[in-house]
Amino acid sequence: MSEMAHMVVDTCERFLDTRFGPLQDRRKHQGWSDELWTEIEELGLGLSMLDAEAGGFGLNAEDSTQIIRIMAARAAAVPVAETMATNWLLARAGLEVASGPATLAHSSGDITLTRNGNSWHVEGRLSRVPWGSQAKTLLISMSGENGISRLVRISDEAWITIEGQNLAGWPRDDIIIDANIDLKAVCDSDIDAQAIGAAVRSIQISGALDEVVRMTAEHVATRVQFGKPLAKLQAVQQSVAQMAGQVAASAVASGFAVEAFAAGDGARLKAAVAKARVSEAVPIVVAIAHQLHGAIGLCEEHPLPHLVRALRAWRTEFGNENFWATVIGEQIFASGDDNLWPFITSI
Amino acid sequence: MTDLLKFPSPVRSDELEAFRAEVRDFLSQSIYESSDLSNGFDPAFSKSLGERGWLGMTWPKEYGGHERNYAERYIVLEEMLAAGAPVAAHWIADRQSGTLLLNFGTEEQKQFYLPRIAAGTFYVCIGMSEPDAGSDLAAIRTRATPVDGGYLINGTKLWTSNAHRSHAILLFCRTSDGDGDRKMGLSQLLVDLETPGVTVRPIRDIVGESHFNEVQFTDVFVPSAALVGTEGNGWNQVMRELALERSGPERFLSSFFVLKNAVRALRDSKLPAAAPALGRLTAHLAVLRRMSQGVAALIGQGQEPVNHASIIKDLGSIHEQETAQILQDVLELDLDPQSRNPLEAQIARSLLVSPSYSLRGGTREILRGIIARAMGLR
Repeated sequence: MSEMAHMVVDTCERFLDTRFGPLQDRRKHQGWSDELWTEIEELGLGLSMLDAEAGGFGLNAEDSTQIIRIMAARAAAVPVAETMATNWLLARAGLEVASGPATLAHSSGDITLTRNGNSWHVEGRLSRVPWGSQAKTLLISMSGENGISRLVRISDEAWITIEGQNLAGWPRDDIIIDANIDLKAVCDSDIDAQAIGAAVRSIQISGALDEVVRMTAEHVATRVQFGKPLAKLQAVQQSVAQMAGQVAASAVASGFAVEAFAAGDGARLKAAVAKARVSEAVPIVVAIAHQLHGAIGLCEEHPLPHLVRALRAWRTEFGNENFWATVIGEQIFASGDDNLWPFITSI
Repeated sequence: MTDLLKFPSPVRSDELEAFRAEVRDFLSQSIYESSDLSNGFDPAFSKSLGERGWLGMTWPKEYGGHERNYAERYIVLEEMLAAGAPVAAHWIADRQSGTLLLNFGTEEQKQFYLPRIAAGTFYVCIGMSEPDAGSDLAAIRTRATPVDGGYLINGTKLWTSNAHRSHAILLFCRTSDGDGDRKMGLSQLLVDLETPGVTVRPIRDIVGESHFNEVQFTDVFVPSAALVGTEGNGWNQVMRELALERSGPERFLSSFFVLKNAVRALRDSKLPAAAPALGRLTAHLAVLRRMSQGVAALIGQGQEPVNHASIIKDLGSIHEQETAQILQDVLELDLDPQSRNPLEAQIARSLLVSPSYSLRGGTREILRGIIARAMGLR
């Protein structure tokens, strides 16, 4: 990591220690807090994937996504990752970057866009938009042909919200839109925003899995039963090792997700590999973590349930493992080439 | 602990990709039968690799090596395995025996053996397991008693792949009592398999193949020059050798040939389960490969990433083992191992031999114990 990256990450860690440390503090931040978001804006986290000229830190994707990892490791209930990714997409597409919380959603025919003189008419309903009720800006991606997407930037005046939640209790709101928007708010792009969404979720999952295995190793080293730490039991050692393998694989898989930001039309396949792999790891790691923590791991006072709920939610958002495995398989079939090895080495 | 779960990112460059194209070009000139590291034994092929400078790639030129880097070596290894090329003859010598000699051998041994291994003309098998010593390697009973001018060997080695067609066995044996520590007093001897008193008996396996052998030593005399490294230091030497054995791309590519051959059948099946099954296995392979490239990078940096290699081997063997089962189920096959459909025969064989993937080169439970130790649990 560059020195600038270290500074940004350290600052973020200190923020997390203050705001998302022991659970007592977190209970103060149940629900939305404008004060908390203001602090996030002052730290520049929402723009942290952008170049310096655009208000960011000029970090590369590998460094800036460290912020996503460490926020995920605290199961921090704020749309920082969504805002970071949305602003990255907006900047890359030449659309106006967002101030305030921002989020993204992929439309598979739920939204229609009709030209209306000097504006666009946007209409439709998107379901389960991350933080839809709190976001000031929404970026909708609509798949087109030949790898071109249409990106649509909407401000919150243009939608109404029907609230919902994910397994972590975080807002996943239906958005109903029926509005005219500026021509400048729409552009065609070769960026695969759905893939970027999956890439972000992959990085979050990996960051949270890192914390789960760390926490579990610490637990079994300190929890004493039958006169010795759980860690001395071979059965426990085997389980922790199994968990470690999945977490290691997920960290490596998230490396593909980071590469998606710079991969052009290779982004979809990289994101697919990452999301398919880390999503599969979630139930395996979660089951072992719960098993080794015992009953305490099911108490709201303990950090594990918060990570587990976030992991289980992120696993299915922007496509679960089956969705992305199908994308990969169909891409292999569509290539018409049976030669699997060059396909793999080109990812 | 956190370092254990992080692997360096792969090194990419135009030069490396150009080299990969060169290797693929060579491989495309032949069609390979389904082969894995047990049955793809082809001296002519090994020799042709030696002639191209693709064996002993990272060794010093003074010993017949080519002083190329680990990223290039990794490319050769993975392209060979992915193509199903018959690499079994030279594999062990190139992967571990040669490097062992480089690290511990005398000048004479290095000058004699390394150029031949790099030429692809000298083959070595591994003499570690015994009837009473598998995972518990320190329990070996093969005895090499120091005598005038050398050692007298008695004992039995088991599961020795390709002993029947290798030139030498790298024998792990006890040369003295360990003074209360079982791991002391062990040594490694490089024994010519033609030496009087050595008997090799084939063992037929679950699919009727006999690459496994029992190797019996009855009063076998070898000269002192057969000792590799330091007498009594064998345990440390073997541990380093095992790290090499566990660190390559073969730890997740054993079933690749079957998967690659199944792509067409999966596509033609038009079954809904086909695309996600293929995609999932492909995602696993891509990630395992990236992890393995990370290990190659660590080795290139002069490290011995035993723990990272153990993680890859554990995950890799799970992937290898499930591949045949998944293919059988998705393609809805009752398997006939004698089927005239080559894919069906390959899936059948892979299914039956797949339990060996979590046994050979490090039993799964042992590897997980190593990982647990690396995480501070033991």
